[in-house]
Amino acid sequence: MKVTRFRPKDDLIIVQGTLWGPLNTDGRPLQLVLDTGAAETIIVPHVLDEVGYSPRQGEAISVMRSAVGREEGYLIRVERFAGLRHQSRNFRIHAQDLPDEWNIEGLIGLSFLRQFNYEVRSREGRICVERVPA
Amino acid sequence: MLANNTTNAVATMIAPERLTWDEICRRYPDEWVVVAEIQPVDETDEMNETDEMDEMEGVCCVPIEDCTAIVVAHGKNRKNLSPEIKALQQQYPGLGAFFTGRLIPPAYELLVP
Repeated sequence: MKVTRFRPKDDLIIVQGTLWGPLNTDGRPLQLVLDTGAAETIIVPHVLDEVGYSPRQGEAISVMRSAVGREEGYLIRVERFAGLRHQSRNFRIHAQDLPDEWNIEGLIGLSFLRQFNYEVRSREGRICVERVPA
Repeated sequence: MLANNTTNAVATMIAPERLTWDEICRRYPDEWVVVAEIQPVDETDEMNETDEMDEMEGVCCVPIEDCTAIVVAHGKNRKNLSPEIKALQQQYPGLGAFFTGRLIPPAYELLVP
């Protein structure tokens, strides 16, 4: 069991993630929002571009319908992604712009979370995460 | 460009100074900051809450609020910082970009009209 801390008084559950890419082999820290209501794990395209990924490497163009409308993006496999003290290799990310005013670089969604059992302890500001064998 | 410029332009820092997150927020309110050399305030705090082999060796998992870091660039607009980040990450491994103001919950306007 691994424990990730967050600030319980914040409006969002903000956690640190890490993304590796061709231009950043040491890992690029990301400030992400834990969103159990999101099917995909999302990173904004300009961050993927910074670490060396291009839409040309994308697997498919995608359209995401959310509470705030319809957004086009693309699906891309990244070499390595980490969040909540766990990592996934060859992990599929949904590259999609998020409204600028949200001031976030991405969301950790169920595509990452479903590899684990997890417990969000909101009052304590702790997320307990346990990897489950496939 | 001056370090404390708060226009939409990107400002690159000249003299690096290690700051806590609270100090960074006070100095660059409601801005995106690009930070390097992120280190937990309490180094021992990073790994003491795990009882399995850690998958994250060499990666700082501590929230930025509990770290110190060096601000290497800052600006009001995140996308404008991208070229700067691409250039700086050759010089600073482990570079990250964080917003110092309030983060807005997705669909907040729909939930609270």
